Amino acid sequence: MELRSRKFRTLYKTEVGNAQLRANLSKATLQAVDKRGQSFAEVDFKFLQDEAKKIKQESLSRLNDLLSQFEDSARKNNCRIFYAQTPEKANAYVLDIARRYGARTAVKSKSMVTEEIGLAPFLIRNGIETVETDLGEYIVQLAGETPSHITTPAIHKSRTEISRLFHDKLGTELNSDPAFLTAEARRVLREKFLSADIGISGANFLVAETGDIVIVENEGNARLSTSAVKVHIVVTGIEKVIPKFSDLRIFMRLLGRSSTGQKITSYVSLLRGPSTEDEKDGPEEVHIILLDNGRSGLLGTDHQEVLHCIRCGACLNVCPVYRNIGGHAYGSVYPGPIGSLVTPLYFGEQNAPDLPFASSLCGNCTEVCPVGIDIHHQLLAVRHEIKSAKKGGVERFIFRNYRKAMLRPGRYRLAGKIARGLSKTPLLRYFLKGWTQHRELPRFPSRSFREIYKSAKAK
Amino acid sequence: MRVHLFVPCFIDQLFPNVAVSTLKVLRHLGCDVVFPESQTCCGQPAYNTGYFDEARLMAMHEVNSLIGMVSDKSEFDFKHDYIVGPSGSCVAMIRNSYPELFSEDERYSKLSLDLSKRVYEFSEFIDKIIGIDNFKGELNTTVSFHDSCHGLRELGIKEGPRKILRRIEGLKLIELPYTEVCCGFGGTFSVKFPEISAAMADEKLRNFAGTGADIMVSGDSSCLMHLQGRARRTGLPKRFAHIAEIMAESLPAERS
Repeated sequence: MELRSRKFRTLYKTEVGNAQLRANLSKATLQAVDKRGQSFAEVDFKFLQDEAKKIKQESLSRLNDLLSQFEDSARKNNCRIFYAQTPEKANAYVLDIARRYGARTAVKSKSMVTEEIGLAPFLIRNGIETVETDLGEYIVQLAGETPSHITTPAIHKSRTEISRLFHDKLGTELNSDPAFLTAEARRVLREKFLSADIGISGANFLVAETGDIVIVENEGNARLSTSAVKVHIVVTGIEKVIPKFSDLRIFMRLLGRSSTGQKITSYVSLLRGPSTEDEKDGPEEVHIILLDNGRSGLLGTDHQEVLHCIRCGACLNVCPVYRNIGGHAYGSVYPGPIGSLVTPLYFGEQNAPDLPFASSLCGNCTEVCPVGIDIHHQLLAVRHEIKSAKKGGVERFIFRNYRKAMLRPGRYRLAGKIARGLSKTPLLRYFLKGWTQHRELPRFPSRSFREIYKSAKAK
Repeated sequence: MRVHLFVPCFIDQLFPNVAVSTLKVLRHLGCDVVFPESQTCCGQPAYNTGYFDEARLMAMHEVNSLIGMVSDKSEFDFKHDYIVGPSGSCVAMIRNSYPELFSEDERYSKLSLDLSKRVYEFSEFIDKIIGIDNFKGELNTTVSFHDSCHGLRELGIKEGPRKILRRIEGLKLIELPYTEVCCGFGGTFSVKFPEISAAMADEKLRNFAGTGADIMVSGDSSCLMHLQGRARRTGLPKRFAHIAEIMAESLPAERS
């Protein structure tokens, strides 16, 4: 998708003023937070988090070797591998396959990486009908929007809004019963599955040891998209590879609980390539596209741990900033706390100068991250990099002079006295308008603590 | 037990009663309290906004002040003395962030690590060092306790302040729903993105109003300043008080 994160300051202001949006988000995210909490009551979160973090650290520390190993395993399983440095290269590769097969329709299951590279719109522009088959993604596609959440793409919409959308686009009756709406979507999508030539999916994990492509989902659409087609194309990031099949025992217990509070998702597909001669179902060809797009630049840096992310969405659900502005405000395919890191780190800090600051650094994201990313301290580190790269400016001037005053207790006392003296004047209110537009100033006392302390001591 | 009182700059300037109450309660509990008068700001606003160099200079000054090396005569004894401050956020800055800020400065790295073992947030100090049982108060009121994010997540303060409040006879504690959700202050975040910050405050205030409690109590005046400012703007007539103020009010001498 088009990166609009530079416009965050404008985008969030519209969203935060949308009461309906905030109500939708509040309901959905708090429900997810509650369910997550309940689901972890029965397992040792800290233990699993620690193990997952160790596996991810190990994987990234020898990523090149692991990728080669995965490549070998996948080739043995008759998959074809393509490394794409950029979105353009990944998209062109997919189009090439689609054209070779004379494909007219592609069915797609949910994948953030395909959103990142804008694959569906690209294929549609090139004459290939590309249908999102995850219910949330389908809703978003029908509405001509982009996902606003990593795991729940249509989280910003209420049932009523969805029923109106279906009514307008599909001609269904106005009925906001989720079962009815799901059945309508299923009816439309079933036709697409039957007529599709190619299926596109992401991958949650790639297992180096065995070549397994692991996909978790709840609707069965990913399984159909990957097995009821002639060609299956996997598009995923290079950081998704893990060493051993047995590592999944950790991730499987963490991922469902972190996203939706499920012990495990309804479907877990372990795919090893095209169908063999004795198999009746399955694709004839399987292609795996491994996307870099800024990822390898983080290897060996202080930000490497950001690549641990398994896209569970837990940090979005707990984030009160996300809850009040929604995913679209971020202007990036990756919203929320992790998005405020991934966006500047993958796509350039100059492209997301405000995102790392759009956090109160409350640390709730770090607390729930299943793979142990220290999200809020990473945000702080990126803030420092952004400020260090920029010379001059009003804010720097203020902080420099603030510091100068703080190093001289006498100046500090005087500055405090003046500020307190000015507290009832319009001048100070204007100077602090970021505060006073939305809140009252505290009632300024006539004496500071140190003045009180000093006079008491003198007595 | 000697305590060097750490008074965050905004408490010194805007909420002196919080510091006065802290001093009063600590003295009531038998501490020998001194206030190193050269202290100013711990540097957190600059640090969290990304100006690490400015923050480091302020941190150096603060370290030297707190251990009595600037102008005060009361030198800090690293074996026996403590530094106590009525703010989870500013204490977390000293305990957790100073060692990181000084990671490349041998002298200050050691100093800040030594210091981090002696610095305590006010309620934490009473809970872990003085002992809750030494405190007893009386005050007829109903309160909710607001967990500040830095107190909760950086320092691990959760039960301590609640145990303290339960030592006050006549005080009823009602838990806030979603008490661990941030109130939206976040330092410069509150003025950089004021609409989001205010929306977060509204969430918190809605939950607070729902409890029916009279006072919102917290260990961080920064959260309270933000919430109170928003409550006054939106017309929610509630009191917001630091836990030290509530404790001081509950002491025998305070009741007439």
